[in-house]
Amino acid sequence: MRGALTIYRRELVGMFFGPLAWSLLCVALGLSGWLFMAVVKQSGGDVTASLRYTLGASTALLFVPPLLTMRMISEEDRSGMLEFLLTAPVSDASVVCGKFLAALSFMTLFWSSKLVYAVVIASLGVAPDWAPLLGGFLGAVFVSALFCALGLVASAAFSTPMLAAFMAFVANVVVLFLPVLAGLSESERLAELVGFLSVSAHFELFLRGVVDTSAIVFFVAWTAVALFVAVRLVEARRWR
Amino acid sequence: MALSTDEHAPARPTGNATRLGIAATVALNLALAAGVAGGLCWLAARPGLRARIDLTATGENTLDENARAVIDAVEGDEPIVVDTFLRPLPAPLDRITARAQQRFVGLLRLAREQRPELFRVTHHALAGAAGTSGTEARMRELGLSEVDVVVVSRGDRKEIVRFLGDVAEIDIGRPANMPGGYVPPRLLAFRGEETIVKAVLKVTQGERPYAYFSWGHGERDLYGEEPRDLGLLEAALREDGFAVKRWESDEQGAVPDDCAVLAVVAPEEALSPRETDFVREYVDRGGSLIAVPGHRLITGAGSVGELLEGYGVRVGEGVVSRPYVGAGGSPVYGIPECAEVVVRAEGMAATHPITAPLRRAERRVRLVFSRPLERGRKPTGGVLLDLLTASEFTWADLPDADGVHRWMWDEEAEREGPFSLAMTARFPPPLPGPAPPAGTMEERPESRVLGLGAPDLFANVLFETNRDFLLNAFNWAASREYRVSISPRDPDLRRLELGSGRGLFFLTMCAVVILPLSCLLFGLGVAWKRRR
Amino acid sequence: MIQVRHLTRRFARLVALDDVSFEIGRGEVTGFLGPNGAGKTTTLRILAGYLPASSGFASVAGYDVLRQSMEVRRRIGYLPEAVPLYGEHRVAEMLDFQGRLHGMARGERRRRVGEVLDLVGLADRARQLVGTLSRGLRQRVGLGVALLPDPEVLILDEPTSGLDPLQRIEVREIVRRLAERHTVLLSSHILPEVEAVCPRVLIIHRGRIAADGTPERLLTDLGGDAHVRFEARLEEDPAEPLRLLRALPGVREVCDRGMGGDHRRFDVSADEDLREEIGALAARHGWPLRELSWHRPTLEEVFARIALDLEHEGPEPS
Repeated sequence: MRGALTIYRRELVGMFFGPLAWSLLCVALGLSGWLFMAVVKQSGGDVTASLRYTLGASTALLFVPPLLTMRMISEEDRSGMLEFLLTAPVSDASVVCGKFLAALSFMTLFWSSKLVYAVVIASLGVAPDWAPLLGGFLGAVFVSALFCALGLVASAAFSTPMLAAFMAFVANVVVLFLPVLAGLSESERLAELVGFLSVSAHFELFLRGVVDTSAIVFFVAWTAVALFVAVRLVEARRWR
Repeated sequence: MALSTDEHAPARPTGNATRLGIAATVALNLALAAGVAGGLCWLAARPGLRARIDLTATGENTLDENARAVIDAVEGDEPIVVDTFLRPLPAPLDRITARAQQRFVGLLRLAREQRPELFRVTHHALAGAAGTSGTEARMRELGLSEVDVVVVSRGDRKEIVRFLGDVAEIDIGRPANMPGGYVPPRLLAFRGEETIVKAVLKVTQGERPYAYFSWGHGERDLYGEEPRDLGLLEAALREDGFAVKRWESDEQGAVPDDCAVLAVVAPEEALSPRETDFVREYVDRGGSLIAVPGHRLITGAGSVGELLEGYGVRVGEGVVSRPYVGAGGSPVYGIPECAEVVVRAEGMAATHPITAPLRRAERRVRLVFSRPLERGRKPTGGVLLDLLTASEFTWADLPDADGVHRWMWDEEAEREGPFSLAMTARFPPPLPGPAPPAGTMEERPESRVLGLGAPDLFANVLFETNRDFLLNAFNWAASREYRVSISPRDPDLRRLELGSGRGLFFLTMCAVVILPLSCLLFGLGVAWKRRR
Repeated sequence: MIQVRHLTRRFARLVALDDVSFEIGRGEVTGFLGPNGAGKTTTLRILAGYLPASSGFASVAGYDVLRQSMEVRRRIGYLPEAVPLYGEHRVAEMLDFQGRLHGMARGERRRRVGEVLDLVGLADRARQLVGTLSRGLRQRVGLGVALLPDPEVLILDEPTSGLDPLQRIEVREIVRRLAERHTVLLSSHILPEVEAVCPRVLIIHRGRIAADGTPERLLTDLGGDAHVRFEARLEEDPAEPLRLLRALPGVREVCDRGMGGDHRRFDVSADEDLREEIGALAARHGWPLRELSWHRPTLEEVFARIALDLEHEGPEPS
């Protein structure tokens, strides 16, 4: 735990003392702000719906976590930092968790920009429906957690950051849009299975303003599985 | 240097086999982890272990308590099959209907989550290449000719819910090129739960309710196809789940116990005193009566007028008429068409279950040769309500000395509108009756009487026009509208004023410029501070 | 302090370590010597707990490196060949990070960072970004990082590779100072360095320990033939000088290397330096001297010979 916190702290420093995080944040915020305004105009000023829509917009979700996590393991393995961390008195799991938490913190920061919008809107005299907004925010953070964990898996599995980012992106697309593809089939059983495994369906719950324990368990469980895989992959690097 | 020669650790053979072994162990681990995660998710989705909080201010994600009670009370193993045939509507309604549809589908899911074994929900694809053949087959099976509907069925009983009108009411707003500027469409009302619960109740109520039509006093043929026969009504009632029968007191005696609604439609002769007593006793035990006087005005004992008067509905003199709107919009008097009266939304009772859906959907009711109805002494503890009201631009046309209508307004002799054309009376039955069906919210049974003025309202010739009104009337009378108390919820209507410009500008600046730029500046600041 | 028994490590087809055994006692400073690819880094990684061995056993400070990895990691300072440093950190931050990894309290961390910075001579660079340091300074930071938790055992993988001679001397000085307090195992493929710093040398070649001991012992044991080269102009028959030289006390063997121009050359093997005695002998007999020198093989020659011998053994069966 302490090890994970130390790694987490170091990753935050590495992220925010470097240019990547800030430029990524700048671009992502600019694009999502632009999207948000477009939605506000199109919906005729329905702020709650617009905020939810921007929280649910999957573009940032697809791109940002892979870019954040791509270097975390593959690059460090190349530079020898991983050797250092894995011979330091912290467990492999703490190393992976620390990095994961750092990426998740970044995503949380990014999503909190939507709360800033909400504050601005509230200051303009139209209070948005806060509770479901927070629910949606929570959901976005949960989905980001899953995607960050997937990104770490890719980063641990592939040797170059670019490849890792690309594969993580592909994985995200598959995870997010698999239900759409599966929906084309008529099989009820398959539909049920996909609904059970569907990230978007569980995310949808949060976006609608429902905090459902089963959705929370869903995200926590699968994020944990992805992190577990990442830890195993880091370990496997030693066995090669 | 002395080296110890004992084997400390047993040598592990390494090779491809070991590597495979390690790979297998790792794969097994992963499979196990995935299995555990899947199991956890499954467990967490069990109704007993699942907790959910609805954060929305309007509670739009939660089934009403009463709705849950109704769903819980459904008996039997036969599944309730729900087929949705919803499609995206074109802009500008696309977004708002999509959201309403989502909410509705979400409610269906909630219902399903509550009784997973009971509900079978299928969402049919209406667009795209895949799945439309299956959709068409199912639509044929259900006898559907329209889309944007949801069909709730159980066994051979089904209820069709129209998405626009029944579930969601939408104000289409104003397009940008119209004077006054763009007004976005908005959701006026959303009655998802109400419609679901009603549909569920309709298809789950025990046996078919019986509708009896009195026979033997010059009533029109219940199965005939002539314009003034009742064949279409009979078919529609059967379709709607009723069992339709004749009541002939000579053979059957009193009104049968299984009678859910008794219809006395346009008898051209008086009922016998015995029959009148049977009808009264039936109503007083909590029965429901629909009564329409015939074309020939009969008064006195055994007439419909006398029957209805006992429940506070008096059949007045004359025929409600209005100036016929001829070519060019000028009023025309003196022709029989003047006796055709159309009641629009504003003439319908807003809250009554028979007329409220029609009013919302802006339907009309067309009546021909209708008697005006008046309020009499209402029964003890009862309530009288004007269901249909003709406008003030009508008069009650009286026949002249020869008994012939002239269709001219005689200011001196003839009364002016508005007139009531349909009235309901509800009252606690003075005599004990049978228990209500299970699952409804009825606290206790009540007697219901619907009096109508127009003899041909039920006839084939007008049936298609008045179909919804008539079916609603029978359903109400048969206590099938189940007063499910679901408080209406207003959709969230908080909106940012787009017209004023300043707020929008400020928000745009904040979202598109200030936030990203501040990040950039902050980043530059950090870089500058740590440049060495 | 360090125990290695029958350590074997295979990478797919390649045998990187083949039944390696050695022991290093507390406070010993040991040089791990071998050509590139001999298995030095693999051994050190196994000791640091980064790589698992294919078979065999290794322990550090009494803890099994595989099964009690955490205990081992707390007790070693490991500096890999590629110095692991985060470029975007300042020197002091990097050290502080290591302190946190080792779970040191804040006050202790601050104290240790100060001490270590002084020790590696970076006190004036504490606030410089690691990314902007020169190689030598980076190496020192790396040493500092390894040293920070004050480990019982220091494992340094090629601490001087890629440095210029001056920087090498600096690093060597630091390591020499460390030797007072820590058990040090450092690897190198450069002999003089190991000779300069380490009282004990382990030579590894093709995954096997080829030699083990102090440099002197290695020289005597393996080098064997220290000799005096004696070259003089001799008119007479070489038999007489040969006899006289052989008669000198302590001489093991005298080898006649034949004529070089007017001069005849002898190699006189002895346990001690006999130049004075031979000089006196030449003076007594009036042999005009051209060379009188003490020859001793370098560790490099010993090392080359070991390597060659092993080569001559031919490919080992695997």
